[in-house]
Amino acid sequence: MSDELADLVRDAASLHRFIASIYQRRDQSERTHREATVAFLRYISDLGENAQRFLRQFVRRVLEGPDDPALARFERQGLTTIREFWSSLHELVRPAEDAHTLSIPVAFIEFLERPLSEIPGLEGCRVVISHTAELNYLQYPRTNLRYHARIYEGIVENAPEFPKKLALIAMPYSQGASLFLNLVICHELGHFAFEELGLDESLSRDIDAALRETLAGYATLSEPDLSWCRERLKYWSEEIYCDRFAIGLIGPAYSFAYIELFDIIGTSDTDDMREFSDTHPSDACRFREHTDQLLAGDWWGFLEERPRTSYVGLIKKLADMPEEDYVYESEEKRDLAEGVKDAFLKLKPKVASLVTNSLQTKLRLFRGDLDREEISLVRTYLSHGVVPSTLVQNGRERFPDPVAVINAAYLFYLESLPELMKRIANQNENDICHRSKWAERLEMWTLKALEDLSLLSFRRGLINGGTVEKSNL
Amino acid sequence: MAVLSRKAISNRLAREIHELGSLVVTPLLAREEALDDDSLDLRLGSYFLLPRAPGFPFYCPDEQSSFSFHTRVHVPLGEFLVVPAHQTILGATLEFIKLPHDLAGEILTKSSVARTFTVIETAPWIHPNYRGCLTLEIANGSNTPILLYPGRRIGQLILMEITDGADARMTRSVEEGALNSTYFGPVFPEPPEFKDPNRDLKAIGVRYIRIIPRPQLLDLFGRAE
Repeated sequence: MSDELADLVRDAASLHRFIASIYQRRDQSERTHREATVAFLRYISDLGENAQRFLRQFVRRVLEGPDDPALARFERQGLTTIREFWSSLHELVRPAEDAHTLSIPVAFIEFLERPLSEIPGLEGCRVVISHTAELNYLQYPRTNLRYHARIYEGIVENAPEFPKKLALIAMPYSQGASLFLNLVICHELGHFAFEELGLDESLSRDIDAALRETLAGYATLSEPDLSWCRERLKYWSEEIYCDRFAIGLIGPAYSFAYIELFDIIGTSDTDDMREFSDTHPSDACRFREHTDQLLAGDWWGFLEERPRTSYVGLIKKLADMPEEDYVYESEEKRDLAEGVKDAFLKLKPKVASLVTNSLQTKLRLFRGDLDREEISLVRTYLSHGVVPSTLVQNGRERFPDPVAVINAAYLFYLESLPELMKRIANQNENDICHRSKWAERLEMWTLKALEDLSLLSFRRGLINGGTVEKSNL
Repeated sequence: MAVLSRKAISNRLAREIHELGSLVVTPLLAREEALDDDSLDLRLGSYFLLPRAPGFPFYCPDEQSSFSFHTRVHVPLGEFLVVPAHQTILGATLEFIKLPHDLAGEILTKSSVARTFTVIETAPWIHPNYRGCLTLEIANGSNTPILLYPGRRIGQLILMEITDGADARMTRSVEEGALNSTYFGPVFPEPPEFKDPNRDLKAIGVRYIRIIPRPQLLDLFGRAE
């Protein structure tokens, strides 16, 4: 046997083992996963079995064929492709497995999956949550994965198809039990929608038009410079699309979560608020977009009625910062930075319209007095330490909309936690241990309410938690 | 103490949360079947605490023990949990309950469940003002493993009016500091909370208390880890 052929057989065996180490190390504990995760892990298992079968046949075929070093080198390329694809899957499998139902906010994810899977173009999509060691949320872009999957499927016969419309979202492993910070997942779903709906394609013409308008030497720009400019606008547009998308799904609670996650209160007086990075618009710019989306969704008036939370004032303060004060300084392309930033400011309204177009009927608008009343009732229930899934008003039961529940709970947390604590013996609102205990309980009650509402809506045929009143017996 | 009738329970459920005497049971699924003439059916929730070996030769109910004795498990609706013969687990009701100041409750195993020699409660009494999903001490007393399906009816809640409900101390429920923080508002089964035995016993004047130190891991030179 030639050295090339011997290497090939050894490498095939090594790959066989590598694949097994990823897909066969399935946890045998009592942990359960959401349906979407189960489907994803099943795909990995099927893919693994198929790949190993392929490798066994591959070695048999190679050994039965001529001992030709050139042919062995050619065959080796196939193994490299298989290894590459499995290397990219490696990043996803264990974190998805770790995100079992006790370590993610299941009720919230289930709630989000419903409207998301009804958005035109995203029908039937599912959300797979995984854990990350970073204190951040991210969406794994699938364009690359799908590209590798296609090549892989061309080499490995009968390989199961890479699942369509699967949002792969990672959340910090430490935040499983919480709800409020996890609201940022809505932003990541925006990335999924942006990618899946091909919105960068839709924006490309507008991006060029904006650059043409603001960059004096547009026509003479080199291709690398132009690509750099386009890339900035694409990244920034996607970020504000995702912020607006998140607010479109769950209203102002997303802005509150953003403030908390990124400690905006602590940094709001610094220059950082005005500064764009290569991949993200400045926080001031983002909060201007938040405000604009909240205005478009009729939430802003409601927020202005809430002077007790400093978060609303903070959003307003940042949103009011003049656009002229935004700063983008690029070490890489110093001369182009200002023009690119200006082009982005011109592009923003297009991004806003993309959100409206993609969410369509799933855009959650403020429902006026109905929301006011529900939010107020939910808060009253929370102040009594009661899960707010069945509310009674004037002798009648009502089942609040989940978005009203989430916003009411967040506002209660920001403004009124002491109202609950004062009802409970020996609790001091200035004791941070006491406070964090009740904040944790508050999040648990809110998640329980979302879970209950899902069950109740099944019984009563409600769609997406629409409010229904029912005579109480 | 009078047991509340179906009508009285419905009446309590229809009171607004801030009204004295309001009762909450949520989610109340299939309400018509859930309400009996003198009780309310409760369903099994999806979360459990399974006992595990404590890592010591004994289990001492003290401050350190709460979280060392159980493994948390989630069984989604549609799935089941196997309780081996003669084994015990902690579960919780699917329903979150808020009792008013003038009602006490008792949870009983549903008779059909009891006839499989499954018992769901050993501490069945629920005090006025309680709120939370009820923790169930589930024991399979039979000789065969039993499947438990979350979402199925498992217990009956009997509600009783406290005759002296207008007592000034009890009506404080909606006022400041009236609610007890122990086991307040759980939505999962909760492990027991204990004080250390010496604290409990010193409080009643016991002077000498035998404490068994937890075994320590020593290295070759007899040094504690």
